[in-house]
Order: sequence, then structure tokens, then C-alpha cells
Amino acid sequence: MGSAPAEADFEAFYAASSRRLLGHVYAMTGDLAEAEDALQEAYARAWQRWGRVAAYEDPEGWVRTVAYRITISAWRRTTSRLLAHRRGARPEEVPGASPDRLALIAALRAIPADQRRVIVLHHLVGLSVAEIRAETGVPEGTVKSRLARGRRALAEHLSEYADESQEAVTNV
Amino acid sequence: MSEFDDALTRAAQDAAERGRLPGAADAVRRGRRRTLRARGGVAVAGVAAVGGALGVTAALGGPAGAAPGGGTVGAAHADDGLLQPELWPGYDQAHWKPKKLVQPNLVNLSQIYYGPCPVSPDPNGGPSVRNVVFSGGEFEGRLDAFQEVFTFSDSARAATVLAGLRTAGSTKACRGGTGADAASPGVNTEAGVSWLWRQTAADGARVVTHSYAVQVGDRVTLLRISWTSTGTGTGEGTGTGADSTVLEHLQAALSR
Repeated sequence: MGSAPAEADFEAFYAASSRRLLGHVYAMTGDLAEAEDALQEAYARAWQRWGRVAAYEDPEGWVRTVAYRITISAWRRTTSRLLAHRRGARPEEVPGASPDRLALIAALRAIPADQRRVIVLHHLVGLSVAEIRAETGVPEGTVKSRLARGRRALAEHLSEYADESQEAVTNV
Repeated sequence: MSEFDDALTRAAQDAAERGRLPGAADAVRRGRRRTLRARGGVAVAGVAAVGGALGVTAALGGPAGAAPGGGTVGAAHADDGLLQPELWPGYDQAHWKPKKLVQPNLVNLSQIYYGPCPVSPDPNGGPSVRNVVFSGGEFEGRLDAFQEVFTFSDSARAATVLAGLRTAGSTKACRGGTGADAASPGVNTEAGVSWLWRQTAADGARVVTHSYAVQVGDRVTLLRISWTSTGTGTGEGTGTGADSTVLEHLQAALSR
């Protein structure tokens, strides 16, 4: 990888997708700095194999999946926390974020990561259950179960969406 | 779009607008550097500045000559010293498919071994290493693993590293970590030492990293298996009952 056309193609892909994917990964992790680090690393890996990734049906999904895996890698978490400690910053500090949005992200962080991932893929990314199955590799039944449990768990933290979540649970 | 979807979208967009990504050029540079490193074609910059007390050489394919870190090059080894993945703990669940890399790298040993838990008297973590043979396990969501083989300039330096590692289990809490982080002993045998490091991440996920270290001659190998629980599993791995056997397997692989 390294030709000028390939680099231009990659830059266009980055420009078109990076903001959107950052939002996705942030919602999955609840930590903006960690999301930034993981996403940038995922883009670097995408560039390393851009010839193949560009040909995929959904290169964004590939980058999102890699970034997510990076965020839940124990080793990555260890390194990130060390860096965060050195920076003297708490990861949950997000200057400028409104309280209601922080509350939403905090509620997402409070539920198990596998449930959070499918919640984000379904409600934020807009994937169907079948598409989530394709991206996560887990059976559709498991996806539905995680969606239902995740919504139920979220409802306990977010009373304003409780009715809506309960309705969604019954619709899965 | 439901009210919840809308709120989630706004929160994500808000974060994305506040985010600071370094840009495509940075990703390209990073990717290129890594590709070159994997090919063993890049000299390590800044080694002299860090100035490790230990000289280390790659066990496989590393450049010859004096180590910039101050040490001399150790003996070449015919075998990489990596353990067959079928013998890694957790193989029955993860079916590891490691990829071997020879990485000219600058690695702080204590950070590798302890993350935020430095046990060296040196607050910066102690010795530096130059080249690493790295074998990454295939990531399986809840399990990941990798084995590294470090080749030092002589056996005494390698023995010093293992002696330091034998104290890992006595570290009950990590300085700089949270109260939920703690190391505990596994086994300490003639072949080597094992220990566990339990962490609770900010999102509530529990991670147990099971580490094994063995020294043979001028080489030290480290095998780490991380078990991640997101609240629905135990995340406790396989326990320490088989640790002595794992250490013996590692010793045999490193002795080849």
C-alpha cells in the first residue's frame, strides 16, 4: 500500500467516515479519548491493508469493528489507563458535554459491553438484527437477547425513556 | 426515529464534534511505520535517549551489531522459543492462531509486565529492551493472548529480569492504579513464575490477565492470557492449577 491514488482514496474515506465513526465508538466506550485512540489505530490498520479493506462491502463496519475490539482489549485498556493516569485526567471528564448527554452516556457505560454494543449498532448506527449479526458474529437470537436486556438495563438508568424501552423490549 | 435514538444520535454527534482525531495523514504514517517495523527494516529511533541498562537482540532476524541501548548482542538462536499455541491456556476456547512478528521495539519491561503497576525502584520502570519477538494471539472478544521472547545480551541480565518478575505476586495493589487493580501470585517454580492481575475497568468489565515468565540462558519469555468478563461471565480464566505445567512447556520451548 502506498500509491498516490490509494492514499487519496483512503483520505477521502477517512474524511467521510471519521466523525461518524468517532461518535459510534464513543457511544460504545463512553470515553472520548479512548475512542479517539482506538479509532485512529483502527484507521492505521485499515491503511496497512487498504487494498483489501477498500474492496469490502462495508469498510466503515470493518473500521468500527476493529476500533471496538481495540477498546475492549485488556492490553489496550491497560496502556490507555496508564496514559490517562500520566495525563492526570479522569477518562469520564468531557468538557463541554451537556448533562443530559453525559447522563445518557453514563447509563450506557453502566450496562454490559456486549449489550451496549448492540444497542449502539441498532439505535445509533441503524443496523438491523441481521446486520448486527454480520458485524458482531453472534447469532441473531443472541443479538435480540442482548438488545432486550440492554434496553431493560438502560431503562433502569434512564427513567425518561423507560416506557419507550419497555415497548421496544416487547417488539424484539 | 424514537426519542431514545434521537438522544443517542445527538450525544454521539456532540462527542464527534468535540473529538480531535489526528487526521488521515497520521493514520497513513502510523500504518507505514508499522509495516516497515514488521519487515524489520526500520532502525529504532531514540533508543540511546532512553538508554536501557540491558542490551537486547532479536531472537529471529534482528539486526546484528552493538545494541544502541548500551549492551552487546546476544547469541543467535536457531529456534524462536515460542510455545505451540495448542499448549497455551484457553486454547480449547480461543483456538489461538498467532502471528509471529519480529519487532525492533523500545519497550519498558515493567510496563509490559505490570501495566500501571511499576515494581522497579526506577519510577520509569527499569530496563529497556530493543528487539522483541512477538506472537499475537487471535483476538476472540473475551480472550486475547500473546507471547514474547526477549533476548538479552547475556544470561545474567536475563536472570535479573526473571528475579524481578518473581516478586510480581507480592504486589497487592498497583501504585497509580485503582483499588480494584491487584496482582496475586500463581506459582513460583524452578522453571519460572506465574501471577494474575485483576482489573476492573471503568465500564465495569473485569479483566484477569494471567502471566507466565520463564528464563533460559539469555532469553526470557512472557506469555499473557487475558480473560475479559463484561458482567455475564466469570472472567476468571483457568485458575492456577496448571501453571506449573505451562511453565515447563514454556521452558522446553525456550530450550529448543
